[in-house]
Amino acid sequence: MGRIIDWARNRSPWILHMNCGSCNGCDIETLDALMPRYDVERFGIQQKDTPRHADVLVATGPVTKQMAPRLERIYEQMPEPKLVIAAGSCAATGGVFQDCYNCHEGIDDVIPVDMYVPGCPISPETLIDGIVALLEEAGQEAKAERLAAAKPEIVQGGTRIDEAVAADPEQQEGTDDTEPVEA
Amino acid sequence: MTPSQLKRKLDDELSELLAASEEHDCGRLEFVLADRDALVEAIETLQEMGITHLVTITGVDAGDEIEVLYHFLKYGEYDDGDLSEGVELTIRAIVPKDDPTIETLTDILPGATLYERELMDMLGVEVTGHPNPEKLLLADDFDGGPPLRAENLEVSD
Amino acid sequence: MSEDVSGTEIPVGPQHPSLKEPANFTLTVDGEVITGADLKLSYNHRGIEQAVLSKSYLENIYLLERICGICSHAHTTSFAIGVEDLLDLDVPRRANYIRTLIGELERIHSHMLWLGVAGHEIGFDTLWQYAWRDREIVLDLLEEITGNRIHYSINTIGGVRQDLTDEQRETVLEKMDELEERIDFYLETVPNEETVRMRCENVGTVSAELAREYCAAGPVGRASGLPVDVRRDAPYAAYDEMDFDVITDTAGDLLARTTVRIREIAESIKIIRQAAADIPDGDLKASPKPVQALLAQIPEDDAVSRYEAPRGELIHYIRADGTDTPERVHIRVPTLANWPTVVEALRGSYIADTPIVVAGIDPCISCTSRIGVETDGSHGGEDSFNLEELREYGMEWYDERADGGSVTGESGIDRGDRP
Repeated sequence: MGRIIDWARNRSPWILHMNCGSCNGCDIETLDALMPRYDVERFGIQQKDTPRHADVLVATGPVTKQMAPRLERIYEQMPEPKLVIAAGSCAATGGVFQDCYNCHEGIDDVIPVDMYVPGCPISPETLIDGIVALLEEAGQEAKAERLAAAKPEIVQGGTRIDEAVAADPEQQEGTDDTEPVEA
Repeated sequence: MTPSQLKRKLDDELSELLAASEEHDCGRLEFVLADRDALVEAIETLQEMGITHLVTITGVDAGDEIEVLYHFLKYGEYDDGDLSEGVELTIRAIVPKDDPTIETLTDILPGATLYERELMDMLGVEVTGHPNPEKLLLADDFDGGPPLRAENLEVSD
Repeated sequence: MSEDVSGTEIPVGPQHPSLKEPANFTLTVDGEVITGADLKLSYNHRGIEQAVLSKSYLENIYLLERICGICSHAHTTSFAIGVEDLLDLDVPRRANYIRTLIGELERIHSHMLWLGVAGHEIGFDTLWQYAWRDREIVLDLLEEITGNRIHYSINTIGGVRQDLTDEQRETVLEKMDELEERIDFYLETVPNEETVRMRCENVGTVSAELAREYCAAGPVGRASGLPVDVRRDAPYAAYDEMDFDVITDTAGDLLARTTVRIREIAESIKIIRQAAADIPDGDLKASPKPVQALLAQIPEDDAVSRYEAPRGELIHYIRADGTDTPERVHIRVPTLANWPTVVEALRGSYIADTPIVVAGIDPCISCTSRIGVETDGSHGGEDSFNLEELREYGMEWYDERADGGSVTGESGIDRGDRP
């Protein structure tokens, strides 16, 4: 729980949900995450309705041929930095619709994907887990980039930035990063 | 009315139009039209007998011809929460592949509209007189042949 | 479905931000009143009817289950019954009771999902939150009995794959008591709630005659007085042993569709209690032989199987050719049967009513396909109303009306008339 609160303080992701030909299973479970039981709104995760305000695209379904150009357009309209989550088996690989003539084989056939959330359908918990992991990862990279821009000598080949920073207490002064999120 | 009773009545009313009729074990009736041109007349007869509910229209590629099945339901009797059993029936029309057309039912049965469009999309049967023969399920720029025709099936074993 | 109507054209869709699926409508309008509507349903077309032909009947259960995440049990049961018909298998009573129990739990979850969505469409988000929270009771039960909240995979050819334990039976009966209290609450409050009355009473009315002409199914048909319910007009599973009422209404408006669904949940609770309390002992499958062995004896014949899905009458047509893969499978989902009534219901309605009228048939768009609205900009906003904007437009429009604005639209058509 502490970990969710930590990254929520750092960034509150706004989610755009898009159904690209799914059976609805993953979609109702995605919406369920907003409902009283899971209630991710208290962590600042909100569902947005237009791509222009969204940080994270949660896409479901194998992507039917008709939806593919629309998916691309939505992706283009999202501002950087943007992240894409492929939710469900169909979104990952085409799922049971793999050999259907009107379907692609997943979201990554059409746009780049940053995180795959498994399940047929996903459950709200796995989605939240996926969002957290993705933001952590992205957060880490963003943090690394920020630090690297500020102090180029901190970037060591292959070494995680926060480890490098922690190893040298003198260099740690003057940075104002919050406590590292527990992995 | 039991399925058998209904069958006797319909055998009688439709006698000139039928090539065959059958009652399945489960109680579903089936009537094969001698000629597809008899379709509208046959359905009008059903309607006069109070059978108005078209469940759906199924097209089947049967080799040299396409079978077009019209599934109907005769409603049960409803009385304040209680509903009695109805009767299921199928009207079968044969459409040759070298002239795959059949007349629309929409003039007498508006509910047929989407089912006929699906038939056109999936089996390439031309439903003459349909008020809106636009593609229903396929993309407007779909360039393959009707997906459920045998020659277009990409069936892997 | 489209006609030569003059007036402004408003296309709608295909990305719906809060509902789940993609579709497209073009509305023709005269001022605030809709005079015609055109459907575009292809966005969710996946090509399932072709894909089933290369899979065995057993594999097809898992494919057909995923036609729709909300009514998946409906599809597998209907399909299994069709195949069992072809194979002349006698499904044991215990298995039929389990099928019935899961089927009714599915109906409840679906209707409650709808209640929340309908609430959302009229700006009543509190109802959405309440309904979906209470729906968790049912999802938990399904997870406990079948192992999954969605896509229960309880069916196999010849029966069911899992048994109902005595402990689960107790839990079911307990939870039904809990749920019943909640449903009584909805029954009392929802139809009398001001927002609901304003947005749903006399809105989207479909007369009995129109419903009959367009062969409407399910709660939509029943709300207009049609005597249809497959559980009674062609009983399957254990329904011939269950005592329940078929709920109808005569008003045919959105309010009727709402109350019919809530009352149907109450009937489902009745059926679930009977199924859990009276379930007979016995086998779970018609035959101890493996399914593949049974399928080896499938004749060349066809079968028609109908099922009362939450949205209405579902039909599966199966033609077998003696091999273990089907020759033809045709599925007509209830939403396809009800789309024409949406088009008719929109005619004469106000643009502001579009979201709720569309939601009123409980469109299972992955069962069919999806809705959006575009406009020419004459209604404020940009060129393209997405459904969220339309919903907001609807709420504002009704707020103005409630503050003393005019009841009739510019063309003078008032609520009660049908063109």
